[in-house]
Amino acid sequence: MTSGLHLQSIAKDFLGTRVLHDISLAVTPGEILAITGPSGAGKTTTCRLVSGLEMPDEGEIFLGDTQLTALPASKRHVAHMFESYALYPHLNVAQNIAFPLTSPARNRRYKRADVEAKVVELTRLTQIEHLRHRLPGALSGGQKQRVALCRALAQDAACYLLDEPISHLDAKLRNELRGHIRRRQTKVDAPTLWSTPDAMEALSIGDRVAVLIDGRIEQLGTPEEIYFSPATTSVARLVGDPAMNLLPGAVAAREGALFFEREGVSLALPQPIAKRIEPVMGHGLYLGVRPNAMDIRDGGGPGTLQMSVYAWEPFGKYAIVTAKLGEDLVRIKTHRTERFAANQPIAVTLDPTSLVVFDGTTRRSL
Amino acid sequence: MSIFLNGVSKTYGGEVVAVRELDLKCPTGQMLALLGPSGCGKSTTLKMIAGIEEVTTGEIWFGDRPVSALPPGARNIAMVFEDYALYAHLSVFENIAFPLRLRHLPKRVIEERVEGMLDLLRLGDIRDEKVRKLSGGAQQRVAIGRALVRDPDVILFDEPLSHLDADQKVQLRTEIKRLQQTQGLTSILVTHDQTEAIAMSDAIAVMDHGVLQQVGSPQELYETPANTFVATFIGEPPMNLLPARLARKSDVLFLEGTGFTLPLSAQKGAALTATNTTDVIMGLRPEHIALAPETPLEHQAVMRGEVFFREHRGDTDVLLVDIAADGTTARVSADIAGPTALREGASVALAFDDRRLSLFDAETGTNLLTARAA
Amino acid sequence: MNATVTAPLPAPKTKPKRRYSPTFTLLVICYAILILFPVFWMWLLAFKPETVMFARPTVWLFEPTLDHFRYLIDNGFHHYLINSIIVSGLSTLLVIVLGTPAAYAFARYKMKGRDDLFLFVLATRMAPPVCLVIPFYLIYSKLGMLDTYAGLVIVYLTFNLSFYVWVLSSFCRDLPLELEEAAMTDGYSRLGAFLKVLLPLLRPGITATAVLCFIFAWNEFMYAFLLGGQNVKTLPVAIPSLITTQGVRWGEMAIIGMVGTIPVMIVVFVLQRHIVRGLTMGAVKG
Repeated sequence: MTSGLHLQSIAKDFLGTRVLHDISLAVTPGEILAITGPSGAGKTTTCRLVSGLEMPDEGEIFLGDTQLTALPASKRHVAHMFESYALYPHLNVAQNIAFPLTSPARNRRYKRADVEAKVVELTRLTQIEHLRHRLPGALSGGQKQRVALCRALAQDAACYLLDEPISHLDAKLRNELRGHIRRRQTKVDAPTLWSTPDAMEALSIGDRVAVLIDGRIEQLGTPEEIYFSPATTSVARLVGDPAMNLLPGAVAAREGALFFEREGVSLALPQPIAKRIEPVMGHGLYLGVRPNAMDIRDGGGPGTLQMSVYAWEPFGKYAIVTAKLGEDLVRIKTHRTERFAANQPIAVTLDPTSLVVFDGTTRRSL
Repeated sequence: MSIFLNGVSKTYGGEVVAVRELDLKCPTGQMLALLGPSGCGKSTTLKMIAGIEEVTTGEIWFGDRPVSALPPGARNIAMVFEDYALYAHLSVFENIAFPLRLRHLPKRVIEERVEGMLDLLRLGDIRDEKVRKLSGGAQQRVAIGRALVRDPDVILFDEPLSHLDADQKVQLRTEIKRLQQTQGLTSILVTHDQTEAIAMSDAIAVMDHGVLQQVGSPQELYETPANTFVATFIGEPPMNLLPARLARKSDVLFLEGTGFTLPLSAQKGAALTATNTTDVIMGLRPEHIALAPETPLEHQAVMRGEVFFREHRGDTDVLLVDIAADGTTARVSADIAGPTALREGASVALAFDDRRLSLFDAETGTNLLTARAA
Repeated sequence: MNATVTAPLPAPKTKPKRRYSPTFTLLVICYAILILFPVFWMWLLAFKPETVMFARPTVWLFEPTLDHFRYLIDNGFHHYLINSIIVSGLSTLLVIVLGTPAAYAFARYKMKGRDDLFLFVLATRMAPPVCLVIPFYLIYSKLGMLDTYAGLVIVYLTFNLSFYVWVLSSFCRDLPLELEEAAMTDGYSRLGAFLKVLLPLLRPGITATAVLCFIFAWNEFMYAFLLGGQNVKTLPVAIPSLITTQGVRWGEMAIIGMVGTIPVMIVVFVLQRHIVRGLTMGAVKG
């Protein structure tokens, strides 16, 4: 007896182009797996394969012991929230939410009062209780999104697919709903797939995160793994606020230590990293530096990098300084509050313990 | 060319007021952001500045030139749209050259100016590509090039980043900011995203229901929001707004709320002498809350509660903490350097002090600490 | 905490919504009178006694008479009216029943040669009706279907079905596919999704198209004249019998004109109420 959702080596073609390559995922009941990636990476297609709106060209999907790929969408008992909401325009908010509960597939299970209670509970949670009798046409984008979310969460489904469920809500509500949904979904005996283009949202909601890029899973791991040790440069480019800086360069050995070298820069690498780099000595590599692992120091000094300010964005609690290092732009998240003028020279220190190194050709983490 | 809006209103059909008595100015070479939720009147304002919509009452000036009565074509403005509005079948070069060709400038001049623009926007490598093959970010850079090439007095950005992927958004907003500052462009930015407004503009005008709520530098808006609307609109995660009471006990003003009592410093107390309200809303930014030390410091209040949700944000953890006391509950978000080991259900003690908190009138929502000065 | 400050919405200005200039209003009234006068004149004729019908100068005040109605009923015109209703109504009903699933299938199912077949459906409507009347007559006479309800109903079905399928399938295509997909993931079969979600949304389209089909059948003369007979005589076919050897019976003709406009008026009212173009608004974002 297996449980949970299993995608086994799924591949999908559209018009002769492969859009998903060898996707294998396992999500246990009560777990939230967040899928993130840029638009067009295949997140929505993955959801549609699970709910049965598309059929895979290769591979199988299992939910527990049931082979989902053999069932039509209406028999899969999957709660699918569409990115485009897909609300029924002729039904009001409450009827929309109740719609799946009264479907032939689940007809017997709910009494009218139960349905009503569920609608009230969920609309209260998402703060649209007062809109229950409105038609979708009279709702704003964010309100529609919440109706669609309620419709998915109202079901006692065998699996939940939430495709960008909270992207159009304001920050405060988004924050709260993440908490509510997380609590709810970790208690139900069904796996949840949460798709979002916002990598930081994926990190904050998922028990594990799958980074999907160009139809391939680039990395699958806990939020901490994804954030602190991105597997490839493309993952590194997605994760973080702002994302990690990637500096191309080369390694050189001098005086018994390893140095990261590039035009005008020579940076001694700490011992643990140096060990891992040895196999690629002489090759090109990328040095990954998180914006908050750098700071701006008054005056120069050994171990600092000389840059010039490109732009300065003050966010209140911190500021993001974009600086030019040679021809590359580097983002620095600093807590210094003063204004930095364009082209002003600055000296930047970096915390060597948080560096990540990527192979220059494979672009994989070392 | 500075921009002035003088009591500008826009009403539709005599009843629906889209923009109400708006006074704004954008000095030469600066960027002013119009920020607000959808339907707040920011787009209408932009359209009035562009001349696409007529003003109902009030006046718009560009420098010493009244423009309210001029058609868009006579205002020498350029617009950058959220969907780029490029000519998909033309190359990057031809798209940027288009407005110049319309003016029948000599070939040599066109080439010179477009090349300059390609350099400035770092589009040289893709000058001959068809724009439909480019990424959204590159397309928007082309659109900016097309807007700038004819040297407009004013450049208007209408949600320029909203169709872009996250990484391109971050890149392009830096580019626009850089360009705006180094080229000294007088520009107006319309956006619903506070991050964009803060990152790109010199001043932000926050609007709601067609009414200006506050205008100021990003820092002013962050530190001293004029009312609770601005307070929750600026900052991510948004400011906590907690109901509280002011109580005076032997010359010291105390702030009492759900699960905490905070003695206010003399300075804060002095700022509050003019008010006689006792019911207030305390505005506390999540990043100004810390995990409580063993022994709380003076002027520090401690709230104890249970973690409702912990949001992993890489270098920080945002904790939603439920505080329950005296039969009421409050949910507080705290942005704490992380990652922490705190998970849902853990009990936690949060500390904050009065230095960086805001106080709002519970009824009107206006900032009590700045209202007096205004 | 939801204590946001929303500025009080400004009080509605006392300015009236929209005022047209008196000249404009007068002009519109004159135009309306001009347009409506023939209709008014027709209604007047229906009640005018024969004697004053063409009196010069025009007699405006007269004793209304029901003679014309009496004449029509005596000559069995109410049967013709009922015939018209049966034939038009039945053919339209069949068009809806047969055409709606067909239109849905054309819009949604991907099958080989669908587009060619779709064009062929419309092609049946391309030949001028007069070209087909002789084949129809020959076939019907062999089958003994001349002068039967079924005969006329099938003829109108032939012409209207292709039109109906063509128009309605574009209505279907306008509805977002996600709606059915959502219904299917919600546990409905394709048929269930069609009945519960699509059909209610198609109602305006169905109403509008069906009404047009009804009007076509209602007004049709040539086929009714050639394929009908004494049993199945529709109203348009009956009108010429009012041109008698004693002269044209204008009053009776006016009454039939009145009755004939009734379906048109129903159309106007129904269309206004049901064709809400924005009904699917709010289904999907953007």
